[in-house]
Amino acid sequence: MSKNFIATYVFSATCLCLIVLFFVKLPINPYPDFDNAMRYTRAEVCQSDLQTCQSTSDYTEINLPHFTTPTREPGLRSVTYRLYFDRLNTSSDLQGVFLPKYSDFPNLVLNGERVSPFGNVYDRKNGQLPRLWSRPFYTNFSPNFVKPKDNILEIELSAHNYGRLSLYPVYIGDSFRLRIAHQFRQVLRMGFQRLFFAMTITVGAIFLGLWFIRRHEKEYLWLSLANLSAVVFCLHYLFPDLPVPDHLRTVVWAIAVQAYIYAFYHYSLCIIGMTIKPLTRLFSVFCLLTSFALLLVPTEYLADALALYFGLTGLWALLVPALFLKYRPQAKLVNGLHFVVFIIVLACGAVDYLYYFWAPKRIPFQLAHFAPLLMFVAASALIALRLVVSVNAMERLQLSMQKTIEEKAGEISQYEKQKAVNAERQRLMLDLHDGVGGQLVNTIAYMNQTAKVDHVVKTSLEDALRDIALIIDSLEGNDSLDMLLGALRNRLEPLMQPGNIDLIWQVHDTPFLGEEAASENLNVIRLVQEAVTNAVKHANPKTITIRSDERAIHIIDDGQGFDIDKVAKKSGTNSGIGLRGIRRRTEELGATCDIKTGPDGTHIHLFWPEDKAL
Amino acid sequence: MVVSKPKLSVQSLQSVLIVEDRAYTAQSLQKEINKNAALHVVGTASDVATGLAMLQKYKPRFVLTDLGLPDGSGVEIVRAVKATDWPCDCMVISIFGDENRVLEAIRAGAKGFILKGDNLHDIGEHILEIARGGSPMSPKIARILLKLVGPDRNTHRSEASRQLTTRELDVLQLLAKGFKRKEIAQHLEISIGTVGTHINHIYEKLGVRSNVEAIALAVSENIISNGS
Repeated sequence: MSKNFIATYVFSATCLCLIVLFFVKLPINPYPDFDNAMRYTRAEVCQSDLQTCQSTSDYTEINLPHFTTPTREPGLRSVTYRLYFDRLNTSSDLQGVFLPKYSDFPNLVLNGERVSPFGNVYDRKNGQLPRLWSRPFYTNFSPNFVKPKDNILEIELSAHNYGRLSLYPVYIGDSFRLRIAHQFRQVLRMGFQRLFFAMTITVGAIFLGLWFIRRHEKEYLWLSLANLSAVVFCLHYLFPDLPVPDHLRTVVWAIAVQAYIYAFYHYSLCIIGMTIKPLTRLFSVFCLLTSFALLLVPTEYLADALALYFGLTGLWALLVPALFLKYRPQAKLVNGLHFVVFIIVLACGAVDYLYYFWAPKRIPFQLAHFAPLLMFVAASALIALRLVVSVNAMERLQLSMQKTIEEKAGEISQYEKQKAVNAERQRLMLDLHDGVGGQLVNTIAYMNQTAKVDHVVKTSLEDALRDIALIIDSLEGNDSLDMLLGALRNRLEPLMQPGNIDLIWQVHDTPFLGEEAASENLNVIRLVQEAVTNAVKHANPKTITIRSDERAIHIIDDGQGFDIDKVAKKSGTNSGIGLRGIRRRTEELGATCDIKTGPDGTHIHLFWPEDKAL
Repeated sequence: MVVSKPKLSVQSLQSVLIVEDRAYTAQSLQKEINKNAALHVVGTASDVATGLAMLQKYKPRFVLTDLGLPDGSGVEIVRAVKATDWPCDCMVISIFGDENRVLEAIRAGAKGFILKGDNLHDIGEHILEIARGGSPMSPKIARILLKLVGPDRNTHRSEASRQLTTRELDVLQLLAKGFKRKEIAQHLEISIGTVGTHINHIYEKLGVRSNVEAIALAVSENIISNGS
């Protein structure tokens, strides 16, 4: 075990001590004064039953709460307290007595008359007294029995088990007020105990069900086992007269408490997602050995054995919060919650431990019966948290799925649209090919066969054919400039044949005009086509060179050149339109076109400025 | 009309069937083909039905077919030619040699395409050259094929691209950029014949080996990706 873990353990222990101290020193008086009632903290005690304690000399004065010295062996034991009181002047005639806390079986006698309702229904001799230590007692006095002054109330407490008898402050006074106090106390002790018991059973069943559904999540199994243990050790709250031998009952109760802690140890391992095998093995062996030893311990040593048993088990139990503190720090909320709950639960247990085995007078409250409630809260919080987490995850998943579906639906509709557009394009292209294209080819073929050929008409038809090719290009969509130029070359070749012109192709790099630059690219192609057509028609060149790099395209011919000014002014002729077309396209492209022409030929230099991102 | 028995020798007269619906175009083709000493046109059909009938009747060595015919597609002729039991090569007549369906026809079994555009000089020689194995590949067809094999998510394409060697891909790229065989040979420092072999291999690998329908579909998908 690492030093780090030991430090965490020590820290947990410190927290536990602080909380225990807080509970013990809590500035709340559990036995406050009531209106219309007297609180008696002084009494006389006789360490025997009522019949034996008849003489005043048997009694000694004590303060309440009072505890007898614990006995080591079971057997019927009794203690009798004697209280003197005067009748209180209250609005109601009816007066009563309220014992908020005592141990164990009470028998009350007022001025020599029995007032406790139990009567002699229990066989005291044979140890069949019910254990009423956890419930308050109340009874009212018949107005005839209460004298104005010097009433004597004798409280005989008996038990058939080992341990101590005890009496806490006694209230005598207005029956209405005391009955309410009694009921409140009953809710606080028995009510809660029963509620928690029911919760424990219910939650245990729920966890067992959860485990059946999700077998891989062992934490549910351990939680249900913990609840089962809790059911066992909470049974004595509900059934004060279980006919089980006292020794065995106590041992089973103690083992159930240990099993509860053992189950939570495993639960914590499940939650932090670790298996600390050596530690677990050690804990298991410890539990088995100590429980077995407890079964064998003679009754007279049972109390000491229990003190040791619970003390050592408590030290192991401190592992649980320490584990939560040490491991899986990323799940801060879950671990923090577990740490706090376990420390508080352990503190409740520790308070009760101190009450039983150390100094009952110093412990104002017993809190152990709150432990199942806290566990219930923690487990519910865990499940709620998990639910929230999984619901969130599901919602996120649903959202992302919805988004994906929307995206895909969008893509599909886009695809369908595109498909329709493409189908239409294909149809148009085929129509151009087979219809207009075929017609033009046929006409040209016809003209080739006739003797008289109008060259203007023929050239126009050939131009038209090339235009159709360009239109088809534009219909086919985006392409890189080099590919489009490649296609153009194929179509320009026939134009070169009649004049035996060499088309020199030096296209390696081409300007990149952007991903979505279909119209720009087409503009460049049209420009090149116009430049080449112009050269073929008017310059009578031997060679035409197309050259390109990343920033420029050159169309160079070695023809006779032309007068730029004159051509530019000539409107209505092909050449004028050609030059104007080149200028216009250059502007649209955001490029610069430098045209140099002379008797040695023409050089059209189309280039993009440096700062334009290409 | 005398039908010479098909012989593979270039010297002997080899028969040609033309399937073309435009009369003057067909006449021009016939005239130019007949100028070649090795070839003679045995018939011209103006639709698919007549073309198929003439194919069986004349059993020509070569068939030239237009694709857009009044009663159907020239691809039907291509398939019929491929199924003949005598040596017969089919070529497609195209205006620009760059349509998708030209490629489709080549995949269906056409040996190549003949341009019917504005210049029909040496058309006979073209036919014989194609018969010898020098399939032409226009830049646009190269481009379409390149997209077919290009590095893409589509499995059809990546499968297709695995079929081509790096050299064949280089050739295909240069073809798409408009370079001629001679220029490609110079650029890659190989012989023109080797370039021709590469082109034939590309056609074979992308045409014959794959399912025609699947590729036709992939081609149409390409067109879609072009536009998007």
